[in-house]
Amino acid sequence: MNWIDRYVAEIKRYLPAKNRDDVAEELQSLLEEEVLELEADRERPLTDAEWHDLLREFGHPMQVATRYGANGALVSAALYPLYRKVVTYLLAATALIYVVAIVWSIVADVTWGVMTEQRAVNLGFGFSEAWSFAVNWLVFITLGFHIADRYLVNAGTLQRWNPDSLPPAMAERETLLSSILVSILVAVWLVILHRLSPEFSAAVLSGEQDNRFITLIGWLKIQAVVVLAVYLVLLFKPHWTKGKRAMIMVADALTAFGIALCLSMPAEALLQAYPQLPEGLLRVSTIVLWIWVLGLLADLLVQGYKVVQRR
Amino acid sequence: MSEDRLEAMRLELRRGSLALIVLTALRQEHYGYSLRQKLQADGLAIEEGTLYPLVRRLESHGLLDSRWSDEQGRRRRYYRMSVDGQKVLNALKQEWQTLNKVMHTVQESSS
Repeated sequence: MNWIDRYVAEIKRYLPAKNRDDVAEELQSLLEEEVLELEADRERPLTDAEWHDLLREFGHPMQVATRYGANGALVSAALYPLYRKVVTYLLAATALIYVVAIVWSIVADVTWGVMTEQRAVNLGFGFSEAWSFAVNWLVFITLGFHIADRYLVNAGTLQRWNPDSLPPAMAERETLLSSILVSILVAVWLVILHRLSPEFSAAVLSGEQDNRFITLIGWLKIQAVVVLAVYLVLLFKPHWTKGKRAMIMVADALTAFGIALCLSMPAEALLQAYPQLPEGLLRVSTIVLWIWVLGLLADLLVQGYKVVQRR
Repeated sequence: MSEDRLEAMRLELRRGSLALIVLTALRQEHYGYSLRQKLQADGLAIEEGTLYPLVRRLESHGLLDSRWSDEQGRRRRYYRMSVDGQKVLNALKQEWQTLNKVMHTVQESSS
């Protein structure tokens, strides 16, 4: 096999299948033409060193393939700033949750003498979980952006944007705080979806299994689907509308109902399911659930007030 | 300014103009190598790695027609400007002239 065959065969490896053979045939013909001219000028065959110079000048096979159209990006330049922001938040939030999980495990161990392996107490978010969480969601996010690129950017959606959709200007500090808060909330929901997968059924949701944690997770998953959908829309159209607020209110109401249901379930059943669960921890979790319900109700009122105020 | 930055800006400036020059040159039929020779003879040194993919791109956009030929015992792909290419060339030329004019005007009003 001569230099041209080797070179073109290497370029072919990187070319898109669609016009691979056609481009390769043309490259072969162009290079042969060049070599014939050079050899005719010099009245002798090219030396190995001259072949090297010629091919180097033509370019690395990957660069050549890129120039011939093998340069599709997963995320285009138009969406890249948003993609970078989302990935940064994801990684930062993962790291933060990982640290919180470690601190929580240590506190639980010291306070209640519970070993960190017990999943009822720790958050089940060790290093390997954090790593797989970040990698899995990175893949989903990249895929999501890739699809958005094809169907939104290529379809001219960004060109048809409406200036009315611009959010009100906020102080830099406010923007930063709300960004951090939103990314942490989203990441926490993603962790719940990713890490915990109990049976999802009417019996679980209605609390018939007498395990308030599993019932709670079932309702949080429903909330996550609604809330994540709203946040995903917010990423592209960062402006609160009545519809988005209504969706958040629905999510709040569903979660508040789920938590209230959990609180109505007998604590004894949970203690039977987890005999090593310290009572102190159960009391703390009950208080947290009450605060959560109150928080959700307060949010319902605030969102409702804002919906009415905008009329 | 670093040499690299200057080179990048130079390439950026050349990129659009090259399409215009290549379209103009391909009012006559050429194959890749003969086109490069023609441009070189007319004073434009252009690397193979830049010219050949550009020609392919213009063809894939429908601005050039192409055909394979086995004349003179060699297999070559010949290119020629298409009807759409002619329309685009006319529009690009007009744009080029406008830019030229603006450049002169800005230069004169700033000096």
